[in-house]
Amino acid sequence: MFVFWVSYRHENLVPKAAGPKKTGAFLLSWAFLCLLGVATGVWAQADPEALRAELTDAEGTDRLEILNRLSHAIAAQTPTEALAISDEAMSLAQQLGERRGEADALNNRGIARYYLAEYNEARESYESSLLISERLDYKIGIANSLNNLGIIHWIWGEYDTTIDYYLRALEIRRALGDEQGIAKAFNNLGSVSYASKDHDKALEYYVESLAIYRRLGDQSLIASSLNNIGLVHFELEDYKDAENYFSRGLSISESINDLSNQAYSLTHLGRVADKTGLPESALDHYRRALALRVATDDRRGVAVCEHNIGAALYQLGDFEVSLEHLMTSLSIAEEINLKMTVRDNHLALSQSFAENGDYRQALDHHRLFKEINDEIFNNESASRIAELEARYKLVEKDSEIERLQQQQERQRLVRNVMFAGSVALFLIIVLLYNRYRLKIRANRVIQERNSALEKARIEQDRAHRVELSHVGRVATMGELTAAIAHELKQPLTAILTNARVGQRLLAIDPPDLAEVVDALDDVVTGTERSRELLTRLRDLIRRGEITREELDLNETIRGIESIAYAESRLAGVTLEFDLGEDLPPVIGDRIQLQQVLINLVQNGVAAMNDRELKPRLMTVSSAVEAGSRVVVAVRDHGPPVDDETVRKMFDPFFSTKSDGLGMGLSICQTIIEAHRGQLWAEHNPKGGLTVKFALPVEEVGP
Amino acid sequence: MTDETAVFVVDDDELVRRAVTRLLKLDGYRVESYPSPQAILEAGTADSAACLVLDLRMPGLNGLELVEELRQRGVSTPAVFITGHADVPTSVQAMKAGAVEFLEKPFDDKILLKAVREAVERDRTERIDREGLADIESRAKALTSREREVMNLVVQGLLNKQIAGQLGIAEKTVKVHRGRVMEKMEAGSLAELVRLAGRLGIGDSG
Repeated sequence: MFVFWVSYRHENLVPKAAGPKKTGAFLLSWAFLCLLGVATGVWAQADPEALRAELTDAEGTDRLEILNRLSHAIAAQTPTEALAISDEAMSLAQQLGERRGEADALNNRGIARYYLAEYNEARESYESSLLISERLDYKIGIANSLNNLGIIHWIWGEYDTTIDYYLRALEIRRALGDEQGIAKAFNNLGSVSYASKDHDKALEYYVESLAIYRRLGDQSLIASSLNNIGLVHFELEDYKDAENYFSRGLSISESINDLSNQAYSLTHLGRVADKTGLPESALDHYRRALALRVATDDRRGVAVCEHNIGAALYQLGDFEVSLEHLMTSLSIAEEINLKMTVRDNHLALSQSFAENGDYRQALDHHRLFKEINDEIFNNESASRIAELEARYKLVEKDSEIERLQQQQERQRLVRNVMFAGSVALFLIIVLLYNRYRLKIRANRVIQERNSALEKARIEQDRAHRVELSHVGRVATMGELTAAIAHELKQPLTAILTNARVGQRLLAIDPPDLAEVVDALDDVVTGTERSRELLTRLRDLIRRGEITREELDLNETIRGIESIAYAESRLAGVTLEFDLGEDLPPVIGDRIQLQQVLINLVQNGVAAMNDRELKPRLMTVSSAVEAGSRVVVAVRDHGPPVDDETVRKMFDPFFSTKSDGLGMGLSICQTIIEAHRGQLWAEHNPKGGLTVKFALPVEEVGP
Repeated sequence: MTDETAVFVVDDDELVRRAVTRLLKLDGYRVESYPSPQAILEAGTADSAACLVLDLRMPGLNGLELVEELRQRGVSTPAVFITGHADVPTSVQAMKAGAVEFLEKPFDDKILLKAVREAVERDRTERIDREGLADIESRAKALTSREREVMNLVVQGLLNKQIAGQLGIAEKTVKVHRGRVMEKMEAGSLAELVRLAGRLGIGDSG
C-alpha cells in the first residue's frame, strides 16, 4: 500500500540555538525563520509590559532606548504596533540627533516589516540602517543589519547572498570579540547552508558554533548545537551519527532540565527510530516528547507530537487510536493556525480513514489536505482525489446492490453479496487492468508523436539559435567597434614609432644596430598583437554550425581577454581575471560562450559609465561548484540596480541603455539554456551586479 | 648633452610606452616612463620633468585627471596628450586644461617631437617667469608700509605734490620715500617701476 507521510517537516528545520523563543507569528514553512535571530538584538529578553510602564514618564534618550527595546520585543506578536513605535523612535532619534538610535530604530522598523511579510520594505530599512551604522562605525548596528539582510535574502531563496551577509556579520562579531555573536553567526551560517542543502558546510559551521558554546559553557546552546548537527546527519541519512548527536543533546538538556530542548531531541530520536524501522521505539520517544510539550504548555509542540504519535500508530497498524491522536493534533493545529501541521494531519487522516474503510471521510480529509497543500505549495494531488472518488463510487454501487439483495432471504443474500463482491472485485480488476493498458498504449502513441515533434522542433530551434546568436554577435561587434579600433591603434602606434626610430638609427653613422634590433622586435610583437585581435574578431563573427566539444572554460575566457580589455580600457575600467584552478571540462560551443562573456563584460562596463564611481573595477572569475558545475561570474561595481530591472533584464527588448536593442542578455539566456546551464544576476552588497552562468560538468567515464 | 632635459611618459600600454621612450631618447631627452597615473603620482617626480607625454584613456585616473591632480599639487609641467580615440569634446577639454598638443594615435614621429619641443620651451619660459616674479615679490617685501603707499600712488601717475597732499606729509618726505622705493625695487626709471608694479598686480586699476 502506498504510504505518503509528509509529516513533521516544520520540525526539521528549526535551528534552535539561534534566537529568542518562537512566539505567535506564523509564516508558513518559513516559520523556522522566526527562531533564527531576526531579533538579533542588543536587547535579548525584554518584558513588553514592564517597558510600557517605563515609557510613560521617560524622556529624551531614555525614551528613545525604551521605544527601541519595546518595538523589538513586540515585533513578532504585534508587528503593526511595533512599526508605529519604531516610527516614533525614528523621529525622536532625528530630533535628538542620536544617529545610533536612528540606526537601531531603522533595524526595528525592518523587523516589523519582516513580520508583516513586507520584505522589500524591510530590506530598505535594513539597508538605510546599515548605511548609518557604517558611517558611524557602529559595529553592533552593522552586524545586526547584516544579519537581518541575510534573513530577507534567505526568504527569497538567495542563499549565496545570505551567506555573504552572514560572513560579513561574522567578521564584525570577530572584530568586536563577541564570542556569543560569533557562535550565533556560525549557527546561522550552518542553518542557511543546511537550507541550501550544502550539508558539508552546514556541519562545518555548526561544529564551529558548538566549539564556541562549549568554551562559553552555555549548556542549553551546546545541546541545541548538538541537535543541529544531528539534524544534518539525519538529512544525510547518517542515522547512527544522527542518533548519537540527538542522544548527547538530550542528556545535556536533561542535566539542565531544559524541557523544550529535551522534547526537540526526543522528537528527532523518534524520527531516527522511524527511519531505521523501529516504530515502537519511535512511538515511545514521541510519547515522552509529548509529555514534555504538555508540561511546558507548548501548543505547537503538542500538535506536532500528537501528529507524530498518530503516524507511528498508523504504521503499527493501530488505526483507531491513530485516528484519535491525529484528530487531537488537527484541532490544536487549526486553533493556533499551524498550516503545515493541519495539512499533514488531513493527509494522515485521509489515509487512516481509507484504511478503516471510511472512504467518505477519507475523501473529505483528502480534499482539505489538497486545499491547504495547494495554498501552500500549489502541488497537485488531483489524481489521489480522483482515485478515492472512484473507490467511493464503487463502494456506493456495492451498497446499492446490497440494498436490493436485502429484500431476498438472508442466506442467499449473504452468498449473493459475496458473489457480487467477488464480481465487483473482478470487474474492478478487469477495469483497472484495461485502463492501465489503454493508458500505456495512449502514452506510447503520444510519446512517439511527441518525440517526432520534439525532433523537428529541436532541429528548428537549432537553426534559429545559430541565426540568432550570429545576429547577436554581429550586433555585439558593432557596439565593440570603437573599443576595437582603439585597441588596434595601440600596436599600430608602436609599430609606426619603432619603424621611424629604426630609420633614424640607420641614418646615424655608425648606426646603433643593437637598438635597431630591439625596435624591430617590438614591430614584430605589435604586428602579432594586431593579428591576434583580428583573428579573435573573425572567429566571433564567423557564421558557423554550433559545435559540441569538450571545453576548458578558463581557456575559453582567455580567448576573449584582448577584446574584453579593449572594451574596459576605453571606459577607463580596470578588468581583472580570477580564474579557478583545475576546472573540470564542460561541453559546449566555444564561440557562443565567448559571445556570452563579451556581452556580460560589455554590460558591466556600460553600468560603470559614470566616472564618479569608485572603484572602477570589474572581475571575471571562474570556479567549480560542488564538483558538479562550473560557475563563471562577471562582477561590476556599478550603481545599485532595482529588483524590477534584475527581474526583467533577461527579457527580450528590455534595455536600460538609450541606444541598446535589449537583445544581448536575452540571446545569452538562450545560449546558456541550450548548454543545459543557468544564467542569473545577483545584487552586490555595495551596489552593482554579479551576473553568473553555470554549466554542468560533463561526466567523464572511467 | 650634460644637462639633459627630462620628458616623462605615462601610458598603460607597454609596447607604446617603449616605442615613445625609444624615440624621445634618440632625440636627446632623458626619459622616464610610468605604466599608470598612480605610479607617477607615487614617485612624486613630475615636477622635475620639462614635459609629460600622457595617454588620455587609462584605467583608474585618465590623463586629464592626472594633469588636474598635478596642478593641485602645485606641479604645472606642460603635457602632450596622445590618444587612440580623439573626439572633439575631449580635445577641447584637454586644450582647456593646458595641453600643448593633442595627438591621435598612431601619430607621426616628427609631430610628436615638435609638440614635445614646444612643451619644453613653454616649460622653460614659465619657470623663468615664475622665478622672476618670485624675485620681484621679495624686493617688494623690503618696502615699509609708507614706501608701499608712495609706490602705489607714483605708479598711478600722481605728482609728488599730489601724493604729499593725499598722505598729509611734506613733499620733501615724499621725495625721500620715492628714492628709497626706486632703490629697493632696483628700478632704473619710472617706466621700469611701473612695469615691476604691474607684475605684482599694482597700478593697473588706476
